[in-house]
Amino acid sequence: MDNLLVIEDLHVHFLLNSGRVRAVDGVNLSVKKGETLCLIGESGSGKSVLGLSMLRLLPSNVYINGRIIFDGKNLLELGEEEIRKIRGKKIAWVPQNPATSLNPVLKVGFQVAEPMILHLGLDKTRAWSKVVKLLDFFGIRPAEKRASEYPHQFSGGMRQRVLVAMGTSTNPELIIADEPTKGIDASKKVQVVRLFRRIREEREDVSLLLITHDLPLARVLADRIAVMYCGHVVEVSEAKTFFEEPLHPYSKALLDSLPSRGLKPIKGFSPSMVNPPEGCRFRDRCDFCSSRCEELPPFFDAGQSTVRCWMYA
Amino acid sequence: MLKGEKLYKVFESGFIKKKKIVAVDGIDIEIKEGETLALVGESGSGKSTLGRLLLMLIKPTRGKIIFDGVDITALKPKELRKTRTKMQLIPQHPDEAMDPRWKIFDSIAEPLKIHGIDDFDRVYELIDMVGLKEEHLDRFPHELSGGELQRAAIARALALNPKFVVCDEPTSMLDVSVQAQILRLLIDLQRKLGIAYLFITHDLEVAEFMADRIAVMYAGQIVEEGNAEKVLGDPVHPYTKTLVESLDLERNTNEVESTEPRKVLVAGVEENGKECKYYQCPYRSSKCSNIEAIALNGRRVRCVLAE
Repeated sequence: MDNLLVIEDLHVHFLLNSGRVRAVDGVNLSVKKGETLCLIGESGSGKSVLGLSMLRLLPSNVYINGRIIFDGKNLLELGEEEIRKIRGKKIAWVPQNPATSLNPVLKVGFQVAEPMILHLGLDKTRAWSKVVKLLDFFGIRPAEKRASEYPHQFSGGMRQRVLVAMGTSTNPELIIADEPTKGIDASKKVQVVRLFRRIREEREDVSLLLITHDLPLARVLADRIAVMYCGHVVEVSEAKTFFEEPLHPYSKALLDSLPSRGLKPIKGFSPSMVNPPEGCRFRDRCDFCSSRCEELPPFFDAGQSTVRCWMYA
Repeated sequence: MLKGEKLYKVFESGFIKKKKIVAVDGIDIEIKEGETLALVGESGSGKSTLGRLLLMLIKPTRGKIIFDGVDITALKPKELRKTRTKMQLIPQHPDEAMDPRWKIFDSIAEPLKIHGIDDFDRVYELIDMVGLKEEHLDRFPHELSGGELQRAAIARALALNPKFVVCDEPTSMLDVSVQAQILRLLIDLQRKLGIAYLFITHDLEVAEFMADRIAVMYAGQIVEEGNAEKVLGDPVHPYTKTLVESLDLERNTNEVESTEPRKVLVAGVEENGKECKYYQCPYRSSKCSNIEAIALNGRRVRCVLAE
């Protein structure tokens, strides 16, 4: 499969008074056409920052270095006008918190229509009829009536679907969803999975990047898994092999902390992102650590996977 | 140790047109010393309300709560305050449960101050127990991570040596690896201190791991209750069955079905401790309008199927 988006040696640092927070520190990653890639890792590992950097939605106190190639262009070098044509049109973002991501004083239908009016040049009537179709597709019925309602009249799960409808309205090539299942219960999680399955069935060429720490979700949706730990991507594997045989010690420890796998916590705490240790950042918490780990391991190939650990040298 | 008998909680809203929401509908519940009872159910089924009722944070509309042989619903506020030292809450959102302008030390020391204990060494003892460091005490809530905050909330709940703690979804906002740490901590503390937990969660895997017994709630009623492994391994009540099936994300999502959400009745409008409210039950019959919990091999099931 062809690569749709390629990230090369990306560094994203936040410059604060107290120092430099290395949220993303040397990440190489690619998203293939038509695949679902799940980016998993703990909160604070830099997953969301990585996602936001692709859309250039980071605050101004940020230092970015590296390349994000999309459509033959480096997104980090584009002007504000050009990135606007990509953001929301070719790359869509489904934000983390449905409760606060909708404008409370605007009708839901208008908010879903907005990207289509801006990016596809539709007039209001045509955009509205597409909105009704979209809401109906995502199970918000009766769509005609619900489109004229306001966000507070929607339940949490419906707001989530509205945000996905908004994200997919412009037929983007890449949809980035940030923690789509955070804080929702099991029966609603099933709906979220169905939602993304439907998008994939409808349009086979669309790529999904799911940022999540919900491992069961990643298991049912992902084609490939990328594991992030403390600003580094430490493993990229096919989803099937990942859940049977994770390679990196952190991936193993993460899976073992699931209740169904014995609920074994990882010893110690994540290192500070201001002064991360040299070398492998998982070193202090790792059972297989050796003196070699003081040097940062490169990516090694292990079967279909690549993994950043000296054990696979 | 703690017993709730025929508990009802009806919320009323509206001034002219009164709107009733029956959040807890005739519940009998018992928690023994040092055990963990997990309370599971969908959001809106009344789990948290029941937890708050048992702590007398909100008053039941009807019913008795007996703690250590005393009916605490009949106590005067002053007497109730003394009982409160023995029962505590670990909140779902520790960030909202801490005063943002207080340092962590003050938040953990607050229960001690309120009850006139001037032993601030206790604070250091507590943070040691929950795995925080002294440096954390001097910080504000926004300077701690979610896991650290939850540890601080646990330390505060344990300050007065409670016998009973309600854990209201203590890990629903945390990552799996942090969740494992917090759950392990709660288990360790229970072994050391012999605390009884009412563990409210919507994650059945977590419930199974933590609980001795499990109670399944639906629309303000407990539909099935018993040994955790047995209830989840071989559910009797039709609602428990659907709940256990919904856990199986893989099988569930492979079935082709419309995205139309399953209609869920969350809370009734009529107080009715007798009727089973699982209206979309495939086995629904006229008998279901008057049903008592039936004992079945050490379980209690509110369903005619158990007969």
